[in-house]
Amino acid sequence: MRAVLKLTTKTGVRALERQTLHELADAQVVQRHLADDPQAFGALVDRYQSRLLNFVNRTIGDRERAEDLVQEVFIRVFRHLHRFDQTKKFSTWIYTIASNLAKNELRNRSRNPLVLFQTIKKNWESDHRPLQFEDTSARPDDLYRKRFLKDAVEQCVSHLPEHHRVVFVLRELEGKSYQEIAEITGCNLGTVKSRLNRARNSFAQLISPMVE
Amino acid sequence: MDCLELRERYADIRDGLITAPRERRRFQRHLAQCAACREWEAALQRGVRALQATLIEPSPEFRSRLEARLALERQRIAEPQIGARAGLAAALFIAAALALIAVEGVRPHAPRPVAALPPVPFPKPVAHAGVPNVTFQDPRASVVAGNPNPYGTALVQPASRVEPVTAGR
Repeated sequence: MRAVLKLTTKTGVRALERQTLHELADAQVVQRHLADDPQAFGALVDRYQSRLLNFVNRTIGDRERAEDLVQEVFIRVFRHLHRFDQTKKFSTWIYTIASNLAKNELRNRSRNPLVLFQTIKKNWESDHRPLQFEDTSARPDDLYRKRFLKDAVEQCVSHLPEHHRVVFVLRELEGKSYQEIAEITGCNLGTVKSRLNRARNSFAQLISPMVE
Repeated sequence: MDCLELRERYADIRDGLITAPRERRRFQRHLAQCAACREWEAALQRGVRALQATLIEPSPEFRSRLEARLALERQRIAEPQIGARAGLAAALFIAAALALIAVEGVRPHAPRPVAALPPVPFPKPVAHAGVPNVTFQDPRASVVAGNPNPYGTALVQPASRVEPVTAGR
């Protein structure tokens, strides 16, 4: 009885709609948004915000700026979703926008020394924050190991050349297929494979002394 | 299979692009025999697992900032009339200005009457016979008198003031 009452309230109905949306495929959620469903776009944001943030963060190496860029991705998707070719994969499209924004950010950074300096300074400060302010429930040596491994992995990924790094992150972190990676980066399959091989080689050589 | 071939074809094997059993057996056999390639693959897989374990989440204010920006976008989309009217007015104004310029450019203009300039005395060179001396004489001798510049404004001496050069005669 109480459950029925809950469902009939406004919040309950909205929660049920959101749950239904989360079970739909991307293409269907897009169609619901274009049919003026007010919650549909929120479902897309829920689905992609973390994934895009990790992808962009790994590509540009700046978490705060990555959040700004991911917001920009969603604004562009919102503006142009009515023109999106629904025969194509939505995830490929949104990742292409994110990849292009990340590439532009790296290009602008290389041209502006002040932006580069500010990024290095920010990363230095986050690397040198005291360990005791982290997870207080874990043991100190576990904390150190986790922190060390996290830093090691981030360092190794950031040392990869940009075009290798993008392909490596899309494959290893996002699980994208070769075809999807080729569409997102605008390369052919052979180039994707070659870059991925080199990226893995370089990453293995860099990480090997740190994970033994 | 050697180490170089394994690393070059690693993506094919690992990502399931090679399914032929014979090729997969060659790959497995080399890994079993080569410690260096085994360590290389193990380091790669450990690093990738560590990479996948270090995922980050958006900050708490990420969503509220995004919603604020989306609200502005919705407002901008919902109020296109004001912008469209202003745009139409601007377009009409520009079109009218261009039409005016085009009409003015095509219409033939009658030349405005210009006041005639006063005649300028043009000195004429006159050579004295027998004496290699050239002076400028005002062709309108009658207007010399009273003319402040009878010989124009060029810096020359009137013929009457020039002493003929005698060549020792």
